[in-house]
Amino acid sequence: MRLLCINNDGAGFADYVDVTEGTTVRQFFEAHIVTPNPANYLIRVNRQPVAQDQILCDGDRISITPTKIEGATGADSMVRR
Amino acid sequence: MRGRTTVFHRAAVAVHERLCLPENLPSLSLPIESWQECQRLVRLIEKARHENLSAAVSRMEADLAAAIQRVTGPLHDYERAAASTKSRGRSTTRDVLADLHALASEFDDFSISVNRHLITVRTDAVVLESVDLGRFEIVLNWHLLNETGAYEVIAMDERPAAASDDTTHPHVQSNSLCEGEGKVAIRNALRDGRLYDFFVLVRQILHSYNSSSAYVQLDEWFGISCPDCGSTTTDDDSNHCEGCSTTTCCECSSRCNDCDDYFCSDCIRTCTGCDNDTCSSCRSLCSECGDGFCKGCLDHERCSLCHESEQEETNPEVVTTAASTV
Repeated sequence: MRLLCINNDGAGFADYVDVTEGTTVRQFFEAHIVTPNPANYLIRVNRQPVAQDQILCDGDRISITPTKIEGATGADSMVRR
Repeated sequence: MRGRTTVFHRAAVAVHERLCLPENLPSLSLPIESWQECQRLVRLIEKARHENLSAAVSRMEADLAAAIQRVTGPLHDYERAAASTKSRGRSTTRDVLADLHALASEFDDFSISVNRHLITVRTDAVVLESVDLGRFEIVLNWHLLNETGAYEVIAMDERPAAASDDTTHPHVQSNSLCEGEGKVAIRNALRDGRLYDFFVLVRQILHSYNSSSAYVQLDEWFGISCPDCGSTTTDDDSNHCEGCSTTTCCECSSRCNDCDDYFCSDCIRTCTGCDNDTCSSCRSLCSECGDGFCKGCLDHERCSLCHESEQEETNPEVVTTAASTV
């Protein structure tokens, strides 16, 4: 089956990913994050918080966002109106 | 409830229309002149070959290769841009609508102004290392989705750094967030119209602190405490001691008369000769009396008093004569 995965740990590209039937949120997370500590990430399926043992379904949208994203200073990174 | 649904739907349609504008594609200007140059060169090469002008042929073949590149280059650029636009998973109206509903659940304060093209969420109080910076509003203008300055981060509770009224968060100055590690993810979220991801990313940056790259560090948020007098001062009204690296208020720091650097009271002394402030690097001891002097008050490692007394001992008559003349 196929999921839309948005990994905001880095570039935050949205990509379609093929996974096997019965894959849980935890298994998917551990397979896609280098140092998979769930406490350090907001994991949403179809934009909703989920239990780690929830089984993913075909067409689900899963997003993984770090809880800590370090800002910076500097003109090159600044966004001004 | 019905009113909210209508507003959400109108906003979703408007955002999607904005996403569909082909503004990210480079303008396509067909390289007609370069193509005509290629045709001209082919004709000339044919003619030169016919007349056995081998040197001219090889020169014009090189020119033709360059002209072909001028034709294919812009076309390849456009082809690549069009392909990446197609494959980047841009949100549909339904996706945007789902994002808006999810944002309304994720944030307690969430509003849409269809007329002003604004989506606004309000965060909870941001507390970093025990410093309560208050709540922030994240305001996105969907007319500027693909441009810099698409959003502002506005402090609601006015708790700026003591040193800078414009700095409301270690990574926010003049309502602009310095996105740091989140920059690319935010750009991609806005480009694809993933509004939910965008607002969550910005919120998570606001809840994070990078001390090595902050406009104002949190341990100096309320000002700097002067170690000498205990008063609170700001970065602009303090000096960094070149001797021991402490930061003291302007009143408690002195400038060395010789090197012009600033020093705290522990690292600066008074010259015995002229009473000017002198740092330990510029201050030397008189080899005779052992007192401390600035550079200007020592001559051959001795102070003027020691020079005079030596002169008195070696040539007492000169001193006596001079004294009687006076």
